[in-house]
Amino acid sequence: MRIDAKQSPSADWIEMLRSRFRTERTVDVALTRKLKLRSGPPHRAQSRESIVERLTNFLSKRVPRPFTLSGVRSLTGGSSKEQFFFQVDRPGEPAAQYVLRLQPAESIVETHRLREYQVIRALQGYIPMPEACWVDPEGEELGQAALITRFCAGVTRPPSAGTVERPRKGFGPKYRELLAPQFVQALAKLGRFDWSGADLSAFDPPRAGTTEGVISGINWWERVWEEDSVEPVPLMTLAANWLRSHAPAIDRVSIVHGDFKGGNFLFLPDSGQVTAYLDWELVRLGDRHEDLAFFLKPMFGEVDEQGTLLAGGLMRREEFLREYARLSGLTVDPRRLAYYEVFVNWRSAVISLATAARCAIGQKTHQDIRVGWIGTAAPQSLFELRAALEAVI
Amino acid sequence: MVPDIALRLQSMTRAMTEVVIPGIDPSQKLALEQAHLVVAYLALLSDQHDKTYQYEMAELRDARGLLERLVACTRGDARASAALAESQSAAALSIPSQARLADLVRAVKGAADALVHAAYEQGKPDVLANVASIVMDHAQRQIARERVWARKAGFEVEPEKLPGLDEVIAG
Repeated sequence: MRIDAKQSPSADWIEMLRSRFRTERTVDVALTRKLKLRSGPPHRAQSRESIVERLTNFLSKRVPRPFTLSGVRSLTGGSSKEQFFFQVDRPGEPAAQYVLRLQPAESIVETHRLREYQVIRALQGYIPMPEACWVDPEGEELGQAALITRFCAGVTRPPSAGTVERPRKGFGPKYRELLAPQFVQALAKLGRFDWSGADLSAFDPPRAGTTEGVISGINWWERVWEEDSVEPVPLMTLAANWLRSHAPAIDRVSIVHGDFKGGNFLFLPDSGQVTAYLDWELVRLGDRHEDLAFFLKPMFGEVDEQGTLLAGGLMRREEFLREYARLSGLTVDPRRLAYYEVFVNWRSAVISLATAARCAIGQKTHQDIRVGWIGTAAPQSLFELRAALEAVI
Repeated sequence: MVPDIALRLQSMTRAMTEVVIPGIDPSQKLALEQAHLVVAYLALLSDQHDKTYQYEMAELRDARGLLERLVACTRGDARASAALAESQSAAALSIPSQARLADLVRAVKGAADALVHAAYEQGKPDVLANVASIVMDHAQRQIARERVWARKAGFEVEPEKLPGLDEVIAG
């Protein structure tokens, strides 16, 4: 393990990166905050007592008294945020259950809680979403940047499926049949959602018909690569340059989830009904083809009983694209899709090859071991990146 | 190699000391004792893991010296002669430390990466096409090696189709 200069970033270096890679305001804020914290001590998770005390104070300003806070416990799941369950009881009302998401000093993806909060509220009632209740974007009250949502019932994987260290065990035929139609329907609705009336002040919307949203996305992730990478990889440089020089204009600006795949939605194991789409931290306003390409990543696929690779472990590639186009009424442009297959694999490689190692080196998360494990996905990401590039250059 | 072995050991130690051990019921004495032993083993591995090759080489050179001296004073036998002959070239090798090797790999990759950047800045189409072809060719071999190295992590769609580790790291 090599401790390099990136582990103690200078103010000049941070400013150079900010100026060289112009991106959205809140993306810049989140990445800059990460760098400023980097030379500090390892992340130490707050004690349960501290969480209870801060939460009580936080809720006192937002929940009518009297109320009782109970059941505070940490939750597993999620690779980036510390998650806690808690319950609030008020006389004469049913108990209200919540999930608190706390941001560690660095995480596998460094994002701004306000973006997540606003987009969850914007999509409330449109597709199954957790209810976003409160946000503490700078951690002024909860000690760490935080988002609080209502607790949603459900599981991310069938009871018999894989675990974090054995991810390649999927939905199986029963749940595929139940989940695939809901999943593609939700993605189709997301693509055509009219966000113009929503409060998305944490986002800088790109203009349709231009490449500015694409370039902003490349700047975001090239900046992360510069900030986090621990060794040079010429293929990553080749990919970044290719993406920059071939950026297609966005025909329609959509909400792009950025991480729309199995494991990022909850469903009821008995009925298969989806109760919530989760993990909106990578959300941005951009090109719907990004979500399509991400879902098609072979790494998230599953080989079915006939030996066919199913996208997202749910459905065949052609069927997925056909259904998406039918349900959304939006075109699926093969040229754009091929472009975003390069983009999402390049971005995945940035995360798994650079950020995973970087935040574990600095001991900046509450689960270095899990984040480090994601680093072992880097070879597969690079393999898929190379294949996607080979198809277009 | 990212993440390297030292980083994985550090993360495992941290998970054990900050999450697993505090989470064990104090009445489970055997589980606690063994969890602490795991931490101790990880500390040992952190000290040793990148020096095992040099350690074996030092052992080999020393053992050869022993055998040479024994042969000299006993006139030896066929087995001793064969062992000395077989180990002669290996014992003469000078092996850099793993940290030095990793630095060299990083330096070479960095120099190559800078050339790719420079080619894009200059933007000559014929040069760019050649550069892309060369990078893609190298990436194919490098990625194959990395996929095999990490195959047991479980991210491969069809790990059974990958070649063996010996095959991809052969000189």
